[in-house]
Amino acid sequence: MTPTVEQQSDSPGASPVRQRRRTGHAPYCVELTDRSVLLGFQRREPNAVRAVYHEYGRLVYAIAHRLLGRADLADEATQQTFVRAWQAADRLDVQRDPAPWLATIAKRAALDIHRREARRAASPLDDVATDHPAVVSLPPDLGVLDAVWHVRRAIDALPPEEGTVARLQHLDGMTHREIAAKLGIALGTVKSRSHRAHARLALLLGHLRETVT
Amino acid sequence: MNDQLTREERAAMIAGGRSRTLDSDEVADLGLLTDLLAHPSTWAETSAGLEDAVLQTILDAPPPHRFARRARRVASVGAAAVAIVAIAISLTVTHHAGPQSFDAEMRSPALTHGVAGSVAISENRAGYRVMLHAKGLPTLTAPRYYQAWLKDGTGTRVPIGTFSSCDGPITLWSGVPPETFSTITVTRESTETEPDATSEVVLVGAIRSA
Repeated sequence: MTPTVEQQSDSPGASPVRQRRRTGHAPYCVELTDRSVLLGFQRREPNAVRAVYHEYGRLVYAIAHRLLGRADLADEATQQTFVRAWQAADRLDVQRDPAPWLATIAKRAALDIHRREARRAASPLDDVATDHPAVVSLPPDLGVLDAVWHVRRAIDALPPEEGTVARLQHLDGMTHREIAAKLGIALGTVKSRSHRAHARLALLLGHLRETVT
Repeated sequence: MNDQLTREERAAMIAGGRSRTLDSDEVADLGLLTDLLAHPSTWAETSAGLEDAVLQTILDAPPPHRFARRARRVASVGAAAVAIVAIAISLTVTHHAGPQSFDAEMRSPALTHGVAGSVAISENRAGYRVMLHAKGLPTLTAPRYYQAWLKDGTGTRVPIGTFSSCDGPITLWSGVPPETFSTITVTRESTETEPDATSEVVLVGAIRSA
């Protein structure tokens, strides 16, 4: 049931209220940062900037980390993404979900850093004759980045107890018994949380390769 | 349910009781999802302090007068180019009678198949007209575009124009002499960042007298 959205004003400092609604594609609830928050973001209001970051920061970071493979570079790409987003915010349609727009900026920011790092490891182009075959690093796998966005969004939507179990199973490779021992909970509880988490994640099947942008 | 999970078992948990009824798209997604859930990047958390750093960077940034900044940069480069042209003209007027012409064959530094180009450069009283014929470059839409540059032996780069498609001949203009700025490059740019002559080079060529 869609919660009632309180009347919002565009005046600075208005408390943003998030509204939940289902998109036409992804099967999980997508939280859209509302118009007043995006207007505040355009105006560099700290609360609005933080709200947009809270909403999309981890998604942007997941894309950046996937492409760059290093936490420090992913931090830099994330920072650049939000700065560029703010610099281009005057062109943002505040009536629409900013996720595709942010995802595009995030990919480009990460790609720019990827290219910079690739050049850093090779001779500068200045030192290469124009008729010398250039050394080019293989392009990163961009096709998976949209899927990373979707999966990370689904993970973040899991109840914390289910997300913890899913992470320990998939990322750390822990068995149910190991998880139960680590968390100090019953084996049956681990199994039921795992089952629920996977049932939610299974909703991604058939939608995973839909583009964010 | 076994306690020890293999990749196949993890995939089976995701599929639940539908393992035998998944359609082809869902089967393809199942493998991808199973692998993504095991990848560290999927679960990576931002570092402490990043939120504050993002906020502070935005607060410290000058107002996004993007086009004003680019106009000032182009104007400063243009002023330098005018000075260089004035010097070049004074040096060459005793050596040449009549307008000069140049050309160059261009290739992709990445040796991308099908990407190539050629330029014909002719001198007139406004400077140098650079006619670029390129092929194989994908048409770009905003905010992406192509930027052409001339570069001299010291690495100084001068922008000579922008375009978005190579479907037709491209007319560019240079205020600096090609005999001095004898390398021509085309880079891929975005309006979301400052033009950077060290960004991705898609075409490069050495200019010679025609």
